[in-house]
Amino acid sequence: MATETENTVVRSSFHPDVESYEQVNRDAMRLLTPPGKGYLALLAMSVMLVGLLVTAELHNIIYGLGMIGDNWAVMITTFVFWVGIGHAGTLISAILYLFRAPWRQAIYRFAEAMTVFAVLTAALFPLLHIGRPWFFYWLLPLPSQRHIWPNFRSPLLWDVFAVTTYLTVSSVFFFIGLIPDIAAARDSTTDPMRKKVYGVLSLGWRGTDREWRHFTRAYLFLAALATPLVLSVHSVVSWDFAVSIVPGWHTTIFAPYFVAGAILSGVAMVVTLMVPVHKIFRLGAYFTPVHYDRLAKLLLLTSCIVGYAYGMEYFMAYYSGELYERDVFWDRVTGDYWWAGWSMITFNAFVPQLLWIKKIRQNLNAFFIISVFVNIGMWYERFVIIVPSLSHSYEPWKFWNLHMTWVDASLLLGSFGWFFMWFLLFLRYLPGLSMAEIKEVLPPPMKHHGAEHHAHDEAQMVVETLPTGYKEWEVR
Amino acid sequence: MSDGMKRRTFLKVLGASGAATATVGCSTREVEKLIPYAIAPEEIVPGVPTWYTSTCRECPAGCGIQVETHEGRATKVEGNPLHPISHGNLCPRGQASVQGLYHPDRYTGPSVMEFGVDEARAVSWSQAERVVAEEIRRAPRGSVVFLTGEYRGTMDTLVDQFAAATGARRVRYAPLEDAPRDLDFANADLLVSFGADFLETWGSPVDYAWQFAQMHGYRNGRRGRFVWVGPHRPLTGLNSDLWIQTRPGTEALVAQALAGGDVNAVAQQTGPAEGLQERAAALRTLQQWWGESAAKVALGPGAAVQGPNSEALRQAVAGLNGRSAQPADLRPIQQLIQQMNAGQVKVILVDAQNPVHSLPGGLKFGEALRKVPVRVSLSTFPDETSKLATHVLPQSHFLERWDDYVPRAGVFELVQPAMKPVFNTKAAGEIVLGISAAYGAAPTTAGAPATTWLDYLRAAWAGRAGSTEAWRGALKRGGVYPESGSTQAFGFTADQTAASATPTVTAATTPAVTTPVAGAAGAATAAAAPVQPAPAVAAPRPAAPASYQTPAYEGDGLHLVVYPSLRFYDGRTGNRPWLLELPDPVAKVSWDSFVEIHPATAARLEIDQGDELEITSPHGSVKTRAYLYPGVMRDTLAIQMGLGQEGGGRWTEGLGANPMKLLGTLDPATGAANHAGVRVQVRKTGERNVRRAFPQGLVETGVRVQHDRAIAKAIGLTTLARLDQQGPGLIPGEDQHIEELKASGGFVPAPVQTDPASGYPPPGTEYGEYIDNDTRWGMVIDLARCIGCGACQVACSAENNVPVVGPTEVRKGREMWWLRIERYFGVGRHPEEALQDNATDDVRFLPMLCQHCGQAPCEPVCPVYAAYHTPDGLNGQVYNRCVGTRYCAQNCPWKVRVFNWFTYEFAEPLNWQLNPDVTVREKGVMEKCTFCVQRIHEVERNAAVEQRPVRDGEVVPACVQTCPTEVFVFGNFSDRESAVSHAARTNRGYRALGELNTQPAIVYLSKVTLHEPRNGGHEAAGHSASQGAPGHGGGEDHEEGVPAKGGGTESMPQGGQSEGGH
Repeated sequence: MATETENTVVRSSFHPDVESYEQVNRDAMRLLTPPGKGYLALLAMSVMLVGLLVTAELHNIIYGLGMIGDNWAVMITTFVFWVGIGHAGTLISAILYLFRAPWRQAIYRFAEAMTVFAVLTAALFPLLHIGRPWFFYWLLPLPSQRHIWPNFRSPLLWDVFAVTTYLTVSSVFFFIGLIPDIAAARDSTTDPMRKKVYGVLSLGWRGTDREWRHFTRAYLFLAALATPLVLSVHSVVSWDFAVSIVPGWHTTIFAPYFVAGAILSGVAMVVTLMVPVHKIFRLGAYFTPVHYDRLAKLLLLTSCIVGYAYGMEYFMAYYSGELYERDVFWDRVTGDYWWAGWSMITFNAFVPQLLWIKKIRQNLNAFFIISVFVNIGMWYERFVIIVPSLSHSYEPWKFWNLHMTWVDASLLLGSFGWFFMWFLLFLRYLPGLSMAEIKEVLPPPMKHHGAEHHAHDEAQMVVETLPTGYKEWEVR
Repeated sequence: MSDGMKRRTFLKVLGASGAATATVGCSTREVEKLIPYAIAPEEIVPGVPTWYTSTCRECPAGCGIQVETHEGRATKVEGNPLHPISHGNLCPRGQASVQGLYHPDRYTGPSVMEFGVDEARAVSWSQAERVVAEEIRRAPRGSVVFLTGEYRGTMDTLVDQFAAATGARRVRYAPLEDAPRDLDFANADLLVSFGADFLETWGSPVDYAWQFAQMHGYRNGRRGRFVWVGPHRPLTGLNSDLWIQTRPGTEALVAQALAGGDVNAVAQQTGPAEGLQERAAALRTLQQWWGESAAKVALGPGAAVQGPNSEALRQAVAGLNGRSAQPADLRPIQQLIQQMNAGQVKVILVDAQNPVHSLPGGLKFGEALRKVPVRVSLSTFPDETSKLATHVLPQSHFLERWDDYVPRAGVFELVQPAMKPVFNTKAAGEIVLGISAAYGAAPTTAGAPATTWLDYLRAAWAGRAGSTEAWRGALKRGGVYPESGSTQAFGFTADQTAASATPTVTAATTPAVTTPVAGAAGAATAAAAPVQPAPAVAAPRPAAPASYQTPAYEGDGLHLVVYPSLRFYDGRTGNRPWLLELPDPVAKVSWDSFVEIHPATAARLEIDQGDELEITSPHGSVKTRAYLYPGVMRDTLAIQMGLGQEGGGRWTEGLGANPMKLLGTLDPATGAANHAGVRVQVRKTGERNVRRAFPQGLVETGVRVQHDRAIAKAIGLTTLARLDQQGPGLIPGEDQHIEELKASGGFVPAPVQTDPASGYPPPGTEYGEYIDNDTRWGMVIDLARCIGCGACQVACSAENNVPVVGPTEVRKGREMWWLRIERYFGVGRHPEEALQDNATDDVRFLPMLCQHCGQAPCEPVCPVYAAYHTPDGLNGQVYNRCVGTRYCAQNCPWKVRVFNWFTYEFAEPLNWQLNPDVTVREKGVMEKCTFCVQRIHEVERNAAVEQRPVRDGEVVPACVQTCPTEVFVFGNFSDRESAVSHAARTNRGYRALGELNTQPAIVYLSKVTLHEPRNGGHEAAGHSASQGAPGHGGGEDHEEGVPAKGGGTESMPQGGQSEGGH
């Protein structure tokens, strides 16, 4: 709650414990100090997992894709999982930006970094899962002497476009937003190497009014450009399945269902990442109850949508009277993969319902655990869509079951290693807090009383939206 | 003089090093020779296959074959269309014979193991022959034995001459019964088989399968009936309409009671008290059928019922029929074993037989063999017997040697080499001649010593094809025989022409029995003793009528049946990778052996699918895996012969179990191995790994029933007759769909009008989006004729270079078959239904291959256009363009696309067999059936050169070519007068999963059952022979095959015939 101290310091309703612009800079730069042993250990572990990924893929290339267990199971599941993760970042950074939701400022940088790295991870899998990955460029519409365009009717090609577009737009958006903060880092760092690198990355940013004007315009345009991607990318990914004739895939509900699921998983991943960062780097001043509360509500909303979609899928399977459809859906909850089916329903539709309870919503640890459950549940959702449908489609003679091998497991683990490697590097080498934008919600340091009053009013406006019980929140 | 290099030296060094570099550079490069011949041999045009006529020698049937050779290498074997036995078709074993030819584990040349040395030493042929001749000469008179098979040809004369000259004694060994090969039951209306698996090994399987399809397939409103008598149902039994369950050794009672008798008494004696009523009812039905049938044939006895009362059964069958099979008399072998044990045999020559494997283990042939000092094997492959040999003189495979064979009266066949021997091997005849020459007693032909085996053979054929011209003619035709009477007439043409001629059980064709001439030492010339056909029925035995006696079994516990199999015969083809990978037609298990056990018995003994069992008889024990199968009697186990080979090469070593180890004594009346006369103890070993044992889907997800999907449909004879009265039927797809709409008063679409300006939509688009409507390749598959043998699968692999993936990958469901035979027990909803007692009464075999959809789901999803549609309606696949996303396979409802998970190896020299007309695929590429597009294009090219249209029936894909029962018709659907269009215009036609509207190019014709098939297992009462008297079929409300019924139950998407009515 905004308070006025005796020396009339006006505080932000979002970040009441942030006292000044200097503090923001100080805290942001604190993240960029040379890393400690714990960090290095985590990074080393991630790199080792990446090594596992590389080893597994080399096996696939040298011996053949048969090293994996079966078909699309693990690779495509993981692909859709990571694409989905990305969505929350774009939602927070672009859509909420357009909607002028001021609570995004503190967390959007993390969320956006997560987006970029998640898409980077996801983009691996379409390449890795094909039988002859060395010919991946045949999927791109490159002019060549072969005179063969890719097949624009194929959803896999749409996938290629969707993912590359998403990767391009989200990384450009990410990078543009970083420029003023990188410039700030450049100005404050003493390390000559860092100074040089930040100097290049900041593209000569000096913070003039003109630059700021151009910057905000560009950011707005990019936000507008990125916004439709939140809806389109996962819709396209869902069409990978929906345009096929596989029972359990061929459903019109898939696009909205996938988008909601993507945001659900993305928000859950944001929370999963935020809480440790919050605790380790003592960022309580920035990640405040407002943020968690809003995220919890977003999670709850998307969880309800996803739960509705599950119900609707089952209803349609029943109502259609289609034998194959019914069998597949029945098989999902009673067949060989009943555990996956029930994990999905429980973790995605039921567990988040706990967030209706304020105490749980406001308990960092509880929220973290719920978010991890949702992450697992969302991986299972894709697994349940892919594996039981394929193993139980039209032809009974070709019903099969999945047998995971060490290669599958390595690729799955390796994808986490790959993601966390980038995320850890980001944490220590790029400003994780958006200094410029956080300052927007802080009352500016003013000399004149009138101006101060004005800022005070603005802050008061926000105060009303604050959750009650904030006082009890443990800040650090 | 300065120390510096002089200009001259520099130039020298420069020149020398330059030359060296150039030389080295050139010599290290492999020079590819693109032109194989400097002077091309006559007959051979590079790229154009040459065909040689010959005879298949994989089993005693002796099918006429044609061998396709490319540049001097045999690549494929096909039936000789003129031949009366093969009818142009071939079984899986015959198709796989090329893998025997190129088997990488074959003996590469003669080798001799010297006394006291464990290692065999490679020697030259002349050395080997000299050594063997020397050993024979040194051996005391009467101590030399030549163990041969049944040659039925010039080899008989030669070996007899050899025996006479060297004082050797010839002992004949044939592991399986001698069954008549000239029966004619194509027009019979009742067939009763007493354990005679005539679709697999008994008699002449290819011929008999063809005849069976003629009599049992649907034609002109009728079809014959087939009754199987025996303790379990192998593939042949699974094709029957009625199964008479008999405890092993009691079949004779059924044969005796066929024409009349107390069924209750017979039922009591032939099985346990449990299910007595059902068995009696089944017997009553059999009696009734036998009584009302005009043309009936009894077959038997077969190897599976060989044991107690074999002689009684043989006589009973002979009494019914005039003909019967003679169980293999092993008493001479038993005697030989005694002599070997007594040390009376000093030298033994074993022709390409493997008695150590295929004789009952209790006879202990191997141990006796070890007591013979000189053991000469003439085996082509390493096997249990040849591994014990001191001298291995490997004989050539039949595709690389001269020979002849007389399978039945009036059919004289020639075996002609299609290529030079792959390895340093010789024909058996040549080896015998060589040893004789070294011995100093060369057999003579026409008075002169025979120099070569070919000369000897030609001299023997002088009476039949003496002149060069006649000889060449015989070679061209593969021998001298009356042409296949019915030639290639399809069952479908028979559909139209009434086939009501009374069948002829050609008993009169048996020639006067002549025991092969035991030529006096060198005196009788081969030419003077023309080959006599060995009698189809062995020499008449003393006609003491054997009466039925209560069978006495060895041991106690469950009964055991040991039976030969379609894939491995007695084990001789057990090392061919194609046959190992080919799923057993009944159990669908590949790369392993299994023991059939009734589900109820298994439940009682707490045995689960795939449990490893130790089966112990008084003679030995084997370990193999349980296969729960309701087609075996409750107190009986059944195991196939053939696997469990020790020393059979890289694929066979340690694979499966050899059940012959469980047998020991011979049946005193016939001298035959006691295949059905042993009782065994069963014990679980505790090892259970289903995945290691069986293909995963088979066990884990229970694919034996159709889960109500009606992919393999059946229709009752009555319903079909009713439909036939209404009209001839329509081609499934558009026409039929419109008719159904009309019938139900629904919307009738206007006929498609082609817009003359744009030419769109093109005429014929009812078959999908393709531009050229002149050709729409398609296929009709008649399930009423399919016996499920899998010959098409092997032929497809041979033609299309489909790799073998091996046991590990098969168990992951990664087999590469482009064509597979699905075997369903009824329609069924739950996998457990396939374990019910009556499950085997409704068995449907369905060849599943790429459906070549008009609107193929696989095509639009391929991002790189590797799957695409050809103008002539084929669903093409460009291997080189494929990147392996596998989306096409996911989107294929029939799951007929297969993926190269690895680059599968064709072990040298198996790769010699590869068809040069078809690409060999690498890892990461999707592949599938192409309707043998290379054959289509060959025909199209030839037609273009001759400036004529492609004729109907000219294109013959490999599966169509080989099918012994002529299940397939291939042709052009756009031509409404083509054979394929005619075949599809029937009341039985439907498209598998046709309601998906992908417009498949394959039309299936429902199997025709005597009674209305049960629908989806919802009806408790079936027409089960074991459960009740046939006749009170499934509930009338749910009968399949009635169009516009709207599906009997909610879970049936389509009611039988009402194709596309969804």
